Amino acid sequence: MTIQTTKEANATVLTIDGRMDAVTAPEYEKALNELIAAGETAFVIDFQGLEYISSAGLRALLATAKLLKTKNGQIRLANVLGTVREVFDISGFGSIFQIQDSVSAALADLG
Amino acid sequence: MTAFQNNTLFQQLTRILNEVSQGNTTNVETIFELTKEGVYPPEIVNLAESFGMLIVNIDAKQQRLERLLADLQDKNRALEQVSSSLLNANIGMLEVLGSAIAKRDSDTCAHNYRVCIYSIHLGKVLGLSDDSLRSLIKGAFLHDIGKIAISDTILLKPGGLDDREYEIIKTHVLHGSEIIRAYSWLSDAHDVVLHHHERYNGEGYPDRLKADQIPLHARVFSICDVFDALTSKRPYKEPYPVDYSLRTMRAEVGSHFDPEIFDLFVKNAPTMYETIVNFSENQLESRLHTIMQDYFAPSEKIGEKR
Repeated sequence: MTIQTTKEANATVLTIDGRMDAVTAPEYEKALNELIAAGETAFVIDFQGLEYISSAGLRALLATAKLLKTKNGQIRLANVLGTVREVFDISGFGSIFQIQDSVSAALADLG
Repeated sequence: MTAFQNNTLFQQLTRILNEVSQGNTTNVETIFELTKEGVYPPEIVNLAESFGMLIVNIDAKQQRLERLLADLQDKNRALEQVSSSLLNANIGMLEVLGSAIAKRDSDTCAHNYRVCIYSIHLGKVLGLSDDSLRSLIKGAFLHDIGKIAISDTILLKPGGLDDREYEIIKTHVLHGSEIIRAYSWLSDAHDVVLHHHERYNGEGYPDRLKADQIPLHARVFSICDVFDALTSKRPYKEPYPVDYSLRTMRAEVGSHFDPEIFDLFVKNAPTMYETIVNFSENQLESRLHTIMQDYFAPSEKIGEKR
């Protein structure tokens, strides 16, 4: 898994590629926790290149969302596709996370 | 990986799942550790991943519930504020309307305040419910609201009224009933507003109702109304003493007043009177305001008994 961080005007975009599982999820949590600690409160997570997400990956997403909530921050997901989308729907994540079709739509939604 | 190691991992997973099922989540991280592909054997990874999903599912649902609950609490708080300000607006309107007519009739609202305080007290010793007391308060406050429709030449005429003028004065109860019927929050003041001049023997107005036909609130109020008229100062008279006033009223029990309610009133009247006899208009107002807050605010707001 690789994480690429881009600072946009109103949010930080994290582009995730590869697999998000028990091995790689801690990297995601670490990256996001550091950004939150640095004062960032708005995030778009781009899942375009995400091939697979395991229960450990979902757990990391939940944990960071919960942390962000306590900081009154916001998070949007973009390009949640294919099997990843299926996993989201099964696990009920679709109703916890606000999902947009593209990064630009997610950025616009954050306003 | 050997069969022995495999078996040990399986036992470990089973033990943690047993713990989780009993509410102990201290070692739940191990389940996710065991989902690492390539590190642990596939049959362990599959099992751990299934349980990992189960745990994430539960966490997700819990997070969703927490958010829904927080939203609901926010909405509830907002609703409580709206309902409380609405209630204050209603009480404020009641006080303003009551004072408006009192000021037209005389230069003070003191009579209006006192009859309200007496009515609440008498209603309470009668054992009326909170709902019923609230209606009684509204009625007492607005009992003469219909006098707004009576012309000054008759309402403020010094000396006695002729028959025609008296007939016109009597219409104030009909006007009053019409006025309050237009607003649902006030409509339960109706019994007092329309019927506070009925007499127990059926010779009152407007409907010549007799005894129990007269609504209870009106029978309660008319006793308080007459008592205050006798015991307070008027432009044409000094206040009569309490015992003299009660004796005078006693002579009209059965013709004007309900005997049972009057007996109860007599037992309580001296205390009620002593409590507020020396109150200024402002003191009466603030006493009544406190009583109103007490009766209306808590129970109406959350819809339960105090």
